[in-house]
Amino acid sequence: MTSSSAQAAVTSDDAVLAYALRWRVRSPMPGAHRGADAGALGHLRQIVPFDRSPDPRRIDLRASLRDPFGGLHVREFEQRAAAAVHVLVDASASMRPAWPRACALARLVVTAARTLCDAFGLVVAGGSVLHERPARHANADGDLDALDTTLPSGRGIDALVGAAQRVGRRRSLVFVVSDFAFGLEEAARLLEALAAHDTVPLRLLDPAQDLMPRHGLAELRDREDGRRRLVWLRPALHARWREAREAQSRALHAISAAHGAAMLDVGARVDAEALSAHLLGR
Amino acid sequence: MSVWSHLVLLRPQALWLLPLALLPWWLGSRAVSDWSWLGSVPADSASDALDIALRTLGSLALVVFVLALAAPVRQHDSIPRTSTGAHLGLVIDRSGSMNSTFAGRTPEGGEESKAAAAKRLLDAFVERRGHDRVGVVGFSTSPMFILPMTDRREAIRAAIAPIDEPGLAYTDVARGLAMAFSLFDERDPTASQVMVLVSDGAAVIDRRVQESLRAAFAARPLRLYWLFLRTERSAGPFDAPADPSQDTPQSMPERHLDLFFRTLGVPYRAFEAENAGELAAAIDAIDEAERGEVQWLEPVPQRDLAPFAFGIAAFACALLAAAKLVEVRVDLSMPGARR
Repeated sequence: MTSSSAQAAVTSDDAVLAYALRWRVRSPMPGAHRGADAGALGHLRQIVPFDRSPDPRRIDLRASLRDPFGGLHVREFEQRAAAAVHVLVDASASMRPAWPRACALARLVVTAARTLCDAFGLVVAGGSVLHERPARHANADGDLDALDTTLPSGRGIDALVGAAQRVGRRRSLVFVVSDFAFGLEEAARLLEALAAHDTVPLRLLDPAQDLMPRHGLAELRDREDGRRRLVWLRPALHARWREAREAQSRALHAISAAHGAAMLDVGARVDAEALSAHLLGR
Repeated sequence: MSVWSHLVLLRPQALWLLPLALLPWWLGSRAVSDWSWLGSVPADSASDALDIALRTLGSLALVVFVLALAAPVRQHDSIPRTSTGAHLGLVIDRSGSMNSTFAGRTPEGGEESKAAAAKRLLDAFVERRGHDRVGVVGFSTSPMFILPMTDRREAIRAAIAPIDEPGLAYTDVARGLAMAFSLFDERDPTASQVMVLVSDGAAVIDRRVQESLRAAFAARPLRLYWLFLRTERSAGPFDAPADPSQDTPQSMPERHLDLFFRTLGVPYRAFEAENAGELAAAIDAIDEAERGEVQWLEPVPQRDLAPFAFGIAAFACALLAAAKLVEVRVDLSMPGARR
């Protein structure tokens, strides 16, 4: 199966992801986002005395004339800056069924970052760090192909947390693509490691339980540690199960909110528009 | 004495396969569904108990199957039994005169011979006393060992059935009695042992034979009954001769046999029956008197227990198959998922 068809299968259409940043980017690279530095073009930020920004091309005549002391004033603009966008992909074994969606999400982010001239960084970590690309403007196709051919394996998110700490000191937009199939402490640890960044946790939902028959015996094997457990499926257990799942979901959202990161649940299909709405509506 | 103490394995080397019973605890044979995180599955004690139960059932099936392969048998043995009754040795006269009627004639029309009456009444007697052990010896010219002491009703009735067949000439009471001693085994000394002599005549018993019979009677706690079927106009055991010179064993064998029995020192009763009614009364009297407790050992043949073991294993397997039938597997491969 080629990567493009995999993407087509899990994304609704060719919709393009759009994102906006909630902070002023401090970056020397010109880009699409509002920068923290003053520049020559863009939105008017303020009017400053000529001696603070001695650029005769930007002299504001109106403001200069209005000055009773006859001082010259110069208009200062907001520099449009390029940000860095990181995608952290959890590649532990539990992500296997969700992997096509993870790849599709990464591809969406790459396309959007390219459109906005942002640097793109990628971390794929399962039991160990499988692929790591620092934030660069260079073409990311090779990295996406590497992502496509990765077979999620290993257990735990220690490698992912370690990689998250290396993302960089400069505030970036960080997408965390994971099924969050681990304890709440682990989730908190991961978000903690990304506290300096604008983090967007994308939780890939596991449709498995909805596929479970109402009655029967099922032996479940944990993808990560291989433990097995017999489950006697019956309506009472389904109810308790659903309750537990909802409680887990609520707790995850609460933890994300506490870390200033709004979590988005991604169902069986990757909906670019919903993701855009989530990103723009934060 | 438990059943287990007699359990024997004919092929014990099959027990080397017993460690196979651990397989259900090591190997899974169930359809496995990959699950992203077992932490999301709520703890369920019913499921856990079912898991243990199914594995135990698998182990049980293997254990019982291995036991079945080891060819278990319950060994040939004797089981002691206790009942109300007696060990009854029937010593039956098979001389030709038994085939005549009480009147001494050949039976005609509806007439019943002495042997036929004895057969009918003894048959009913045996039928009535369900817990007796009965052995049968016949005698005429020589003694005939017919049936060893047993509690099998069919065998006893079959042994009594042919006593009205035409008999032989002579009446050798002594050898018949001697053979009857072999009916009583020594296994149950507490049982009440009864010897019933059914005859319509008597014979002279030799002095030396008398001594050996006396010794044999003294050796065991027997009780002796003599049912004398008296033919009309013939001598009986209770007839004293008018002329004392006639009082010899040769001329009055019945009287002298009776006298001999009285000197044995064992409980003894003689009944004289001149017709079927009196015979029935005599038999009822014996029935009334003999209500002791009797114990004996019932032989039990070796029994193959493998079918039971196979049955249990099959039952366990059936339950496991039922569990297998309700097994479900969740295939999580989504459209576009790669394995």
